[in-house]
Amino acid sequence: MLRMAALLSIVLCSSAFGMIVAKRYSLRPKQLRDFHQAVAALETEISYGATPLPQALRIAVAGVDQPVSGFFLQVAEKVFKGKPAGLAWERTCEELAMAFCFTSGDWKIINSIGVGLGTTDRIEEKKKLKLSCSRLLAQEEDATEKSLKIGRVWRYMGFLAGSALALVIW
Amino acid sequence: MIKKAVNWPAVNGNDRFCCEIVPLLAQPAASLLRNLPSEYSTILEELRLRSGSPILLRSGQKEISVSPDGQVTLDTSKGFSVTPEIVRTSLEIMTRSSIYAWEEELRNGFLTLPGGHRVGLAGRVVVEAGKVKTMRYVSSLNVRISREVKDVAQKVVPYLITNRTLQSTLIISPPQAGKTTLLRDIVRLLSNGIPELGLPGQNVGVVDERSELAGCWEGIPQNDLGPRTDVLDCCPKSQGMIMLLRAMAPQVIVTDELGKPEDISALEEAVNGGVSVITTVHGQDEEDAMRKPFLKQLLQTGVFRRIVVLSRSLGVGTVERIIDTAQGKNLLPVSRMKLGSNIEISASRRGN
Repeated sequence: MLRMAALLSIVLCSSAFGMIVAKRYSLRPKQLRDFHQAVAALETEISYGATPLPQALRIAVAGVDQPVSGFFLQVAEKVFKGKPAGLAWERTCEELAMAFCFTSGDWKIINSIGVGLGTTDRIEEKKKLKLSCSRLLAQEEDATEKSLKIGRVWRYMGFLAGSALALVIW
Repeated sequence: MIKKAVNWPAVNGNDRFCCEIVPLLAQPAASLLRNLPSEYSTILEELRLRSGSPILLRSGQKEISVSPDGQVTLDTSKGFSVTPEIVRTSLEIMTRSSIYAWEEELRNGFLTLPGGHRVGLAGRVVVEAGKVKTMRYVSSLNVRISREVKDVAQKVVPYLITNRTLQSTLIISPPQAGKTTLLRDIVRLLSNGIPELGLPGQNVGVVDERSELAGCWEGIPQNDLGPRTDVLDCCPKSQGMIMLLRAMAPQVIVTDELGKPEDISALEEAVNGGVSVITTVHGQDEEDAMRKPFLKQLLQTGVFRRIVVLSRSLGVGTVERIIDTAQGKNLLPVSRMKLGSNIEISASRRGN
């Protein structure tokens, strides 16, 4: 009986692990999509409205889910309190890294958005943010593809690997 | 290191420098200036940050600096040397990392900060089609600390009002003689109303092309211009006067430093529309003003009923004459008079 329970828990743990990894794969495209949407809105606010950065960051995440909205709002708060935007962006990346399912490639793009943010004229800001948007879009497409392929593999693999291990022990 | 050796006058007042300017400076300049003794910080008029040069603080004709260990020093060459990074980051903090939102101000070479303080900028200017497009690589910041001086216009205003009506007035003044301070206080008094003269509060429209009168920050006046004042900030005078006339139904329109021919027709339209106008112009006296063709034309039309001539002969804020243009006589019972006591303090600060 005890043995059965142990084997069952192995299967359950292994399945849960697979589900968690699969979930991270499925969250990544959603978070990248939200980030892309927020950066695009920020670009519009800056290039057409010349809205000051703290306000533009807040407006950009209207209707965007967590943790992306939280990220932008934290940057806005820091800039409003007198921190240069580049530094505020970098700090927020460090503080909220665990809340995202991003890869190092994603973070590289996101970190680059903060470099020199708000220090040039509207045309330059628009160019930089547009470029970031297209890079985020490419990452999003890659993430969607991986989510479909690898995410599904993890979802099944967790259960199957756990079951296989249980059979071997049995 | 010299401390308390500078013989500056002690002036009471809030330490606006430490509260409003220092938080907008980059480190380590902010830390060094945060501990500036209040005997200096409360009377400062100007802070200069130039890349590669020492921090300079000025009050009147006197200059001090702050050494790298935070001590006040008269030997400015021993002052803390400002790095390009400090200038760049300070500008970033002042604009809340929104340089793009300040393009017009960069083109004009100055920013207005919360509190009405003005920051002059110098650096590499980008020119497009012969016109200044923007400024990059800002290398110098000149922070002029705003200190509102109230009630300086109390002695002047009675001469500008007859039969409970404000007369259109031109203030002629050389630079640094207190014309903007006088104009700002006139606006405040008119907006509040002057019961002693039987004048109720007036709707005053201010066209503040250079953000000097109201010192607006994000559209909100930082100086007290009274409860019935509407401000068009950073707006060209000629367009602003017409906009106010059409939209805000003002009883008085106020604008600073008339200087372009196109301002004249807007001003005439305002006066013909039954609005009193108060404005200023650079000049030594009325003869000097008459030498400017566009002003000569305006003065000859009789738009202005009063001309106030300011000078620095007794220090900043000396009223030389108040002329009733209809009668062509000086209304001042004395040969000249000083504005309020606060202006006298300002004059002594400038070492006059």
